[in-house]
Amino acid sequence: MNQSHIRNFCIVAHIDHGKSTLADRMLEMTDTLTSDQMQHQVLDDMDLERERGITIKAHAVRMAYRGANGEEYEFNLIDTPGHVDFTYEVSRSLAACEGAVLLVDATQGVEAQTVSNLLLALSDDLVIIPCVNKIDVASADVSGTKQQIVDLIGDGADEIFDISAKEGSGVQELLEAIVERIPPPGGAVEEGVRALIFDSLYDQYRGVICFLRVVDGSISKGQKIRFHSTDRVYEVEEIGILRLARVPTDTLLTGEVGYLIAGVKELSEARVGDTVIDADNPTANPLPGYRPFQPMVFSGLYPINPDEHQDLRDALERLRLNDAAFSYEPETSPALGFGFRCGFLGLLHMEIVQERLEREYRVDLITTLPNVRYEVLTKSGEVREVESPALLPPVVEIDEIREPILEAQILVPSEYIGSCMRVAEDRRGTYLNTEYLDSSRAALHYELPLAEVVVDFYDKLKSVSRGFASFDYEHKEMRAGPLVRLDILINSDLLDALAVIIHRDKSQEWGKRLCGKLKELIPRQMFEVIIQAAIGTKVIARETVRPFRKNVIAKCYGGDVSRKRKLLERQKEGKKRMKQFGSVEIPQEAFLAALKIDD
Amino acid sequence: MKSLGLYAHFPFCPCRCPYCGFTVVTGKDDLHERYATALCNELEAIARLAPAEGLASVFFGGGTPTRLEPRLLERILTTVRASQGIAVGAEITVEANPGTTDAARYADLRQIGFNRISIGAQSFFDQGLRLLGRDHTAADALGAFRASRKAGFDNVNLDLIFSIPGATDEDWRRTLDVVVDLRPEHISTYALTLEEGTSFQRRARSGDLPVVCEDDDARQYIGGLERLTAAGYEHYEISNFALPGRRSRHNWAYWTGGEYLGVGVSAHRYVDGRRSWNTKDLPDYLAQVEAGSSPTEGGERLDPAAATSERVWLGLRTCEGVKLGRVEREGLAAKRRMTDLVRGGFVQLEGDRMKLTGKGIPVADAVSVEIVTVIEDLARDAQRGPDPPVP
Repeated sequence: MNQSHIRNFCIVAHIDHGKSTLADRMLEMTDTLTSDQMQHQVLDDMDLERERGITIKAHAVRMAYRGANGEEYEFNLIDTPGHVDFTYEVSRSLAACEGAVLLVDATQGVEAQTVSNLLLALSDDLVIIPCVNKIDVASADVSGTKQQIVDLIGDGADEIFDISAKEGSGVQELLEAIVERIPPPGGAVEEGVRALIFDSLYDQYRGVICFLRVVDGSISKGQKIRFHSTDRVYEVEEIGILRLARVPTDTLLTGEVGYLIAGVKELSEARVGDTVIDADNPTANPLPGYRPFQPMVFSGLYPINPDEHQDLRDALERLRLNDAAFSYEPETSPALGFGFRCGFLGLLHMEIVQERLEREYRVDLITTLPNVRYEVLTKSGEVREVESPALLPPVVEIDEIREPILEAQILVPSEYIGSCMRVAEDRRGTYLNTEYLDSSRAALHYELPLAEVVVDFYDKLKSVSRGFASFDYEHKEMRAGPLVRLDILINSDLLDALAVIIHRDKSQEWGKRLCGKLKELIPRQMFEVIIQAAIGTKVIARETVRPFRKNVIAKCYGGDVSRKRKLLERQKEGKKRMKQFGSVEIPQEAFLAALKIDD
Repeated sequence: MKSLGLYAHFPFCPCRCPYCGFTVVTGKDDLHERYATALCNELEAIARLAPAEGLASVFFGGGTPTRLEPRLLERILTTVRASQGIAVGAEITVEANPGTTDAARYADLRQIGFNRISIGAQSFFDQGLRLLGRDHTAADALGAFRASRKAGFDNVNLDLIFSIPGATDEDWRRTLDVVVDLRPEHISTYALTLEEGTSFQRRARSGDLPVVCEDDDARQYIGGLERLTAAGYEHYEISNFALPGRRSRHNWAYWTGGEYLGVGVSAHRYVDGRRSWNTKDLPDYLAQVEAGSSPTEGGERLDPAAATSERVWLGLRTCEGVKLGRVEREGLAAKRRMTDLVRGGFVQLEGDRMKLTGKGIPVADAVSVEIVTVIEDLARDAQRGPDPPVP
């Protein structure tokens, strides 16, 4: 295909605003697939994603579109992940495009995430084609939504498309606009190859499959290539384009989007954002924007049953083949035994990994409270990174503790401004300013400690705004604060998995509520259980779980022995699902007690 | 040769008590004759299992066995004698309910050959009986006890229920006062249990029935236990008390691994290390037996782990505890979870026997589960070596 007839674009939209439905319509209208081939919302292919309505794994698809001028165009629709945890992945997908369709649900209006992705797209100089979707729905506010879009992108909003992705109306016009308004890719085919890896996945038969956009030059089967950031050399086994399945070709030319299989063993070798260059030209300039992977949220993962430690290791290894964005290393805890400290992009990402471990790999897990990475300046002037509260040096050695601070934006209808501000302030937010997007919507800007955001902040915002608030953030800096470690002791033994690093002013309340929650979650047992919260040697809260007073089946005669034995076996199985800590049994839920502290 | 007992189940009741989870039927009194015949047929069919010295105990339970006319009960008991034989001095028990058994009936029962009677008195407090939904009064219960004595029963059990939703500690104390005065040979005290599928359970779920909390339940249980032992009763099983020499021999076998036959709808049996049970459905039971086929619906042979678990759990329910092998004893003694239980005062080791203490008795199940878990850990250690040390 002639480079001038290629259009690479993505769809920027909030979850549920109709991105997948629009993609479906485009595939249909370009005859890329027929409607009976259509598995609903084809771009999402993981169960979990579908359940959560989030596209985690970006894919791309090529469509052949015959324009009104009678000429055939090659469209590459590149999908983008849709959650705040995956901002960097989104930015790399955007970098593979020349244009973006901005899709806004006319029944919902613009959301924070749309704004942030739009800003990313604008900063990459993408041409934006704004669309108002769901115009067929009775509650649609088409003119209001258009006004929000105009306010957002100003002059660029001269033509906003009215579409109904569900019914297909307006989509034909949109396809034509993609031809007319989005520029063809630049780049020079005679140059040495430079291709952007914007996504990758692991296939158990083929190894790592990289999705890439050729920016300069071309890549052919058999060619020797080099990944810039790792400096590793591979031979291209297969290269091709993406339809609904992979279609092998001989060569990918400048401007084209496709996939590459080159004997890459692990996803961590094929970093999103990395540049593919010629093997014999190691000094080629990489494409801009590569960022090494950096987890933001950490948590300890332990098997409930110590016998499953090796199973958990295997599961983590296999999972990492599919998800290079989390890290793990062995960790031991006096309370929980052998486990792993894992790093994630964010809380949602953490939940996804946990769920996959439990669901796909069938390992019952105890997950410790998520925490962020702290920097500790010691009295000796050394700066240490601390990813687990348990590893915080003794208080006497600490000069200061620094925590990550975010700059956050909360988009909210005006009537909920007050309640959202209260949530932000309750989470140690520092107010920056308020921007009105239109008469009924505002963007609140805050500085927030990441630690305050990782646990249920977004849920809180949603609940005080009847689901209307949306939230987005970027990292600002590490900042010192009056932080302390709060320990939880069970019958005087330190339960390291429940320790947190917390702002001094919040420690009292936290300790009290956590002890209260643990009292609810730890069942009565043979012995009394004393739960204490302490800072250093000072106990700040205490609760007691009284022991069983009575635990015995009343009747047990011939006819019932089998049935009653089974009741006891169930009681025994229940115990096995708990973690033995000294003479105390602690249920799995207790380790996440702090996440549910407000329930 | 081990001694063998026989249990026969009678599902007929005038009405279903709202807490009862047993297999009972109401309004099927036209089936008495057929049922008796079926029981006799089933007994004859298992005549080959008859022990040489005859049965050591026979227990007619239900339901309400005395719903059947004495002549039918007699026919069945006669068939037992003919097909299995009953040992000299055997314990032959029948259950009776105060509301449904008139005074003359007790004399018939004694005369037929029952030498022990178990009366479902439940409470000697009218309000308690109403809360339980029983169809008799305290006066009926008293009358039933006196009638049984008059009929010559010198081995009487009274079943009692405590932790009745809505009743007080004082109500339970009054019932105990009456019972201690009556001085039956045997007393069973059961905490009211919300059984699956009963109307009490449904009501408790919908919040329509107050739920007795663990602390109140424990207080009444321990109160009863102290009152009865002070009155000279031996507390020989979690829920059972007897004057010296008057333990229920039939039930004792259940708790100590004894074998027993079972006939009638839903009856269980334990023979040659195998447990099996009859269909719970009365029409199905009748149809099977009348067609000459076995009414047995299912069975299990306990695997060694289940057998151990059962031995420990049932044994600990009794005053004699459970006998441990040397390996078990030494293995247990080395485990912290076990020593915690001993140090916590829940169990004691006396020679080769392990017993619950006074503190352990009210929490017997939790203790058993803990010990069985430790025994399983021991078995696992023996198979694969100990766990790696936790740092």
